[in-house]
Amino acid sequence: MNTQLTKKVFVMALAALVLYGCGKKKEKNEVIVHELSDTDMLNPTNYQSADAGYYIAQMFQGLWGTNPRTLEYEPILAKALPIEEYDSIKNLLTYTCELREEAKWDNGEPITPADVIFSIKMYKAPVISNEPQRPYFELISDVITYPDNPRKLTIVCNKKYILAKSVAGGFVVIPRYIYDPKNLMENFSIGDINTKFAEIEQDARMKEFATEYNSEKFQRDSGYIVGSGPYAFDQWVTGQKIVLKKKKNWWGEKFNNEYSYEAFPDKLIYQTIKDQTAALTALKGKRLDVMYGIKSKDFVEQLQTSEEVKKNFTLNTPLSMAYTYFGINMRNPKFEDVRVREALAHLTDVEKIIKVIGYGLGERVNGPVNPYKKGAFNDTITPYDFNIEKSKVLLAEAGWKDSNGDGTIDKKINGQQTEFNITFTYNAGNDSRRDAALIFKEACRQVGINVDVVPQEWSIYLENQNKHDFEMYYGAWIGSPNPDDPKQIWHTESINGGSNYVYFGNAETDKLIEDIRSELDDEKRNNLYRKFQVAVHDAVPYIFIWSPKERIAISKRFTNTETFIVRPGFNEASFKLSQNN
Amino acid sequence: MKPVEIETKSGKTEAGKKVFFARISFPLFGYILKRILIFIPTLFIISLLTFILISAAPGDPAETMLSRSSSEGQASDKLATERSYRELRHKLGLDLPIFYFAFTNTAQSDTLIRIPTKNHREMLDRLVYEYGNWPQIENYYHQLKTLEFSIIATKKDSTNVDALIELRNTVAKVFIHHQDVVLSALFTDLKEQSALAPNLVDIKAKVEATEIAYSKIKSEASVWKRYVPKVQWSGTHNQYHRWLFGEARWVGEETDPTLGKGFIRGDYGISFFTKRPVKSVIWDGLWITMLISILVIVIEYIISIPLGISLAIRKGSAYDSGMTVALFITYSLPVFWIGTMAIFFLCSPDYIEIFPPFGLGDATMEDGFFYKFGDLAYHLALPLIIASYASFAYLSRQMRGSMLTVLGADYIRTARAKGLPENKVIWRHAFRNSLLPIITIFASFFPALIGGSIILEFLFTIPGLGQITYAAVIQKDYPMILTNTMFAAILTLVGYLVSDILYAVVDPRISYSKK
Repeated sequence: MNTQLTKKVFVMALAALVLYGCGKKKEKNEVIVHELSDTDMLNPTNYQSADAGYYIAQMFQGLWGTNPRTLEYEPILAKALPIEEYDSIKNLLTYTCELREEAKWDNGEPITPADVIFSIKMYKAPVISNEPQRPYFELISDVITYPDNPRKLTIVCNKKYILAKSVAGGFVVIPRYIYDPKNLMENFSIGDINTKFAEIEQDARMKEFATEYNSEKFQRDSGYIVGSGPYAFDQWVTGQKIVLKKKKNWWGEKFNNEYSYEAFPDKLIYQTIKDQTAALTALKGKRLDVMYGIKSKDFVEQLQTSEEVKKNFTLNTPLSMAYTYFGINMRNPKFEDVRVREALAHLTDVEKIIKVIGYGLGERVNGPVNPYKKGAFNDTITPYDFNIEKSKVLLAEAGWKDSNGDGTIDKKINGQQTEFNITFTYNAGNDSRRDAALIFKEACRQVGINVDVVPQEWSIYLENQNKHDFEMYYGAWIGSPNPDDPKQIWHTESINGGSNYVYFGNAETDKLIEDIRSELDDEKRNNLYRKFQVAVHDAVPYIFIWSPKERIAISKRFTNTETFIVRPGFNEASFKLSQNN
Repeated sequence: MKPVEIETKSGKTEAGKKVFFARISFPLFGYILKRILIFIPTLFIISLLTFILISAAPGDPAETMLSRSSSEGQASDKLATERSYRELRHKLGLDLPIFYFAFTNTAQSDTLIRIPTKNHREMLDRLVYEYGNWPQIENYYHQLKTLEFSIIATKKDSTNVDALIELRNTVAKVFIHHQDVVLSALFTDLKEQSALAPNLVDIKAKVEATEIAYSKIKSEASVWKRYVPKVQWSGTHNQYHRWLFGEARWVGEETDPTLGKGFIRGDYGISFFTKRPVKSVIWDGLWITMLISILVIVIEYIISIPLGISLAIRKGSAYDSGMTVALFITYSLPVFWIGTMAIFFLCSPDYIEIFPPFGLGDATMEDGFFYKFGDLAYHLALPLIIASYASFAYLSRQMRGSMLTVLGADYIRTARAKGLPENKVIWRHAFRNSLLPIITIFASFFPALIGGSIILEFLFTIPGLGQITYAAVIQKDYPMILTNTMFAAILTLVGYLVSDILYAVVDPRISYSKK
C-alpha cells in the first residue's frame, strides 16, 4: 500500500514538473548571455575580473574608447576626440576635450569635469582597493579645468607614451553624488595624491571614504552602482545571474547611431552555468541567447553539425587577440645557439596542431603582432616551416650529433657531454596544450631529441617562469585593441620582475621598444613595429603557434549581432529583436 | 490477557521516559561539558595547522591579485608595481610573522618575511641556512638592491647600452642564486661587464661594494648559529593574532575603520577575491547548501527505510538479491557521470526536456509563495535525485541488517508465537528497535550540511558552499579558506558529539559515567 501511494505521488509530481517546464518560454526583448563563473564585484574601479569589466561597460561610460568594429577611437562622453598636444620642454602630454552638453547623471544633473577628477582619484588614491590598477594611473599627473567653459577639461600625462590616449580616456566616469555624498575626496587633489601619498594614507577622512567605497554595498547593491550608461543595475543573484535593465528616458538615446550608444534590449541577463555540458544543453533548449568561449570540440562536433542549432543560432568564429607559443629559455646552454632554436621551430608542426587540437578554429601567427592590426603587422615574415630535414642540418651545424649511438643527439657543453633532453612544461589540466606538446615531442624524437612533457600546477608553472627555471614551456598572451607596448614581454628590463621569461633582447631591440613606446605618429610607429617583428622572428625566443578563433553562438532572435576581434567578441547591447519574431 | 498487555505497555513507556531523562542527567551532562572543553584546544590546533599549511603552499595571493587584471594590460613602471605589491601585502597582513613565536635557530632573521619578493625571500633564506649571519646577508641584499636600481637609473647611450643589458641580466640571476660557485662566477661577469663602458664607474663601485658584502657573508659566517636553538618571539603583531583577535580596540569605540575585529569577535575578514565580507559570502551559500542537504537526507531516509525493511522481510528471495545487485550498481555509478548523463538526456531538446539544466530558478521577491515554491522545486528536483541515489544502497543495507538482527530476537519470536499478524510484528515491534543504528548514522551527515557537494553544485550551477570553498582554495583566498575550514571543523566535532550522545540515549548499555 505504501509503495503504491509513493508511486502515485511521484508520478504526479513529475507530471506537474513537466507541465511547469513547458509553460516557460516567451519571446522577450532580453538577451541572456552565458557566463562560466560569477564575477567578483561591480565596483566600477575596484573590480578585477574581465567579466565585471563587460557589465560595467554597459552601465558606465568613459571619455572616449575603441570601437571594436573599426578598432578606431571614438568619443563617448567627450563631444569629439581630444586634442593631443606634447610639451617637449616639460615632457607633458595633454588631452583636451569637452564633455557632451546632454550628458547627465540619473538625478538629472550634468556630468562635469569635477566628476572626471573624482573618478581619476579612485584609481590613484591610497587605502582604496585599487592596487592592480594604480600603477597604470601613475601616468596621469593632473587635470586642468577651465572656469570660462564648465564642460572643458585637459588631462595631463607625465610622459610621451603610446598608451596615454587609451588610459586618459578609457577609465569610467562615476558620479560623485552617489559614491562620495560627504564630499570627502574634495580634501585631496590629484597633485596631493601624487606627492603626499603616505600622508594621505593615514588621514582619517581618506580611511573613512575608502572603507565606505570598498564596502559591500558599492560592490553589489542596487542604488549604489550608478553610472551614466544606458543600463542600470537591477539584480545580482549570487552565483547565478546578474541582470541589467535599460534606463527609461536615457539621455543618450538620440545618439544611438553611434556604436557606444547602441542599447536596444530591455534587459541584459548574465546567466552563470558552470558546467559546459549543462550550458550547451541550455543553449540547445534556447534558454540562452549568447554563448561564448565554447570548447572547440563541442563547437565543431555538437553545434556545427546540428541543423536544429543552425536554425536557431548563428555560429561565429571571429579571430581573437590572443596567441599561443612555445617559450624557449635562451640562456640555457642547450638553446643558446640560434640555430638550435630555429631547428626546434622547424620541428613544430603548427598546421597539424591547429588542425588536430584546435579543430581548425585558428590561424597561424608569425610574431607578436596580431594580423588585424593592419599597418603594424608585418606580412612579409614567413613562419618557420615544418621541415625535419632542415632541422637535422641546423642541429648538425650547431654541433649536435649522436656520438655514443644511444639514439639521442649530444654535444660537449662546457666540457660536459650533454644529451639533448628537453623538459617541456605546461599548466596541468590544460589537455590541448599537452596534446600539442606531444605532437612536438614526436617530431623531436625523429631527430634524436628527447622531450619530457611535464604538467605543473598553475602557480608553480608561473613561478618557474618568473625564476627563468624552465627549458621550454607552452604559454599564451592576450592583446588588446590599443597599440601594443612590447616592453612587458620583450624588453631586457623585464627580465627581472617583468614577463621576459625567455631572456630575449639586446641593445638594438631595447632601443626599438623604447622608440615604439614614445612614438605617437601611427605611420612611424608601424614601421618600428614591423622592424621589431623581424628581430623577434630572427632570434626565435618563441615558437609562435596560433591565434585561436573565438567560438560564439548568438540567437537568431536578434539582428545586428556582428562579432569582432575584441574580447568578448560581441556586444549584447547592440542586439535588435528580429522583425519576424 | 488483553488488559494486562495494555497495562504493561503503558507501564513500559512511562519507565522508558524516566530512563531517558535519567540518562541525560548528571554523568552525561558532565561528559558533554568535558567534550566541549576539549573542543577549544582541538579547534586551536586545527586553525593553526590550516594557517601553517596555507602559508607553506606555493603561490603568493598578493601576486595573483595584482597579475589577474594585468594579463590584458601592459606592464608599467617597475617601481610603481613594486610599491603596489608591497602595499597590498601590508594591507593583507602577509608581511607579518605567522605566529606569536617560532622555534628556530639563532641564524634565522625576524625581518626576512618583510622582503616583498618571494623569489628573493627564498634566496635569502638559503643564504641564511648556509652562512647563518643575517646582518651581513641583509646588508648584502641591500647592496644588491642599490646596484639594481643604479643600473636601471643609469642613462643609456650608445657606449654603455650593451653593458647595461648584460649587467641587468646578471643581477637578475644574482637575485635568485645562493650557491657560492654560481655567485662567484656571476660576480666575475659583473665586474667584466661594468668595465665594458667608460661611464659605468659608479656601477663598478657598486658591484665591488656588493661583492665585498658577499665575501663578508662568507668570511664572517657563523654556521654554529644554525645549531643554537632560539625561540623567536614576535609578540601580538602576527598573522595568527590578527586573524583570531583582530587589531581593533576591545574597549571603546574604534576610530580606524580599516582594522578588523578577528574571528572570535565574529569578524571573519574580507575575501581576497570578491572583497566582500567573508560572512556574507558564506551566508549566501550556506542556506542553499543546508536546504539541499536536509532535503537530500530526508529523501534518502524516506526511500531507504521502507526499502531496507522490504528487503529484510523477503530475505533470500529473488527480489532481495535482484534489488541488492541493482543497489550496488547505482552505488558504483559516479555522481559526475550520472549527473552529466542526466543533463544530457533529461534537459536537452535533443532527447527529453523535463528538467532545467541549471540554477535555482528566476523567482523574485515579488512572486507569490506558490510560484516561488514551484520554481524552486522544478529546479531542484533533478539535483536532489542525483544527490541522493548513491546513498540508497548504504542506508538500505544498514536498515536491512538491523531489521534482520531485530527479527531474530527472542521477543519477536514471542510476538509471532502469540499469533500476531506479520504486519503487526514488523511495524509495531521490530520497526522502532531496528531504527536505532540508522538514527546514529544521521550525526555523521552533519559536516556534509556545510560542506555540500562540489560536483553536484558544479554540474547544476548551484551556488552553494562547496563551490565557494573550492573557488577559495583555487584563488588562494586565505580568509575564506580559514573560515570554511573552521566551520567545517566545528560542525564535525558537534556531529561526533551528537552521535555519541545519541548512542547513549538510545542504547542503555553505553554509559559515559566513570565506573
